[in-house]
Amino acid sequence: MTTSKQILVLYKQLLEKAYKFDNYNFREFAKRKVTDSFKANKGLSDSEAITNFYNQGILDLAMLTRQTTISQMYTFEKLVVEPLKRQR
Amino acid sequence: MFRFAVRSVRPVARLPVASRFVQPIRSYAVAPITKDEVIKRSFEALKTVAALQESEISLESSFQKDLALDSLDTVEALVALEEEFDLEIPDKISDEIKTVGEAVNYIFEEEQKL
Repeated sequence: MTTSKQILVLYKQLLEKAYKFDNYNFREFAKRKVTDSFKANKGLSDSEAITNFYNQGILDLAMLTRQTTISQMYTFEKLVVEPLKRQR
Repeated sequence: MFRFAVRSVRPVARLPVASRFVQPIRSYAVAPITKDEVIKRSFEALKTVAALQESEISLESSFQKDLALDSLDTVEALVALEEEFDLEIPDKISDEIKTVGEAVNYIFEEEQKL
């Protein structure tokens, strides 16, 4: 049985990973994909469907972890649309 | 290198030799962050959350009541803040954060610890 608490933790982990893409296009896509698919499925009530969705999320989290790591190894110039980070 | 230059030149001119090493000049790369700056940057970060783009954000507004966010949006807003300030809000604390002001206070305290 998957609780809403677990879902929120997974959502947070997925979003945090999505932010870690170095490449703007991948990052924005991943953020959009994560939020959109959670919003689209927030009305799920069948516990089996929820569990399936949750398990898929776990797999996606593993995939995002791999891909963000790779993304950080091969960095490119920032795009013009990206705001430059302030000097810290 | 600049710091050494400052340290060695200025005390010679102004202080007696004995106290030259007593008062090292501390210089920071960046001035410590102020509360106003935390508030300003938090509001900017919150504006990037889709559900908050049109809402009036103030320090007193509660994520769920005043800003009408559901639990997913609240998590999204907190992650946006985390990324803006390069920190991680542990689950235990993020459960207790109900208003924008509480989030700002937590971030400000964390920034002071750095």
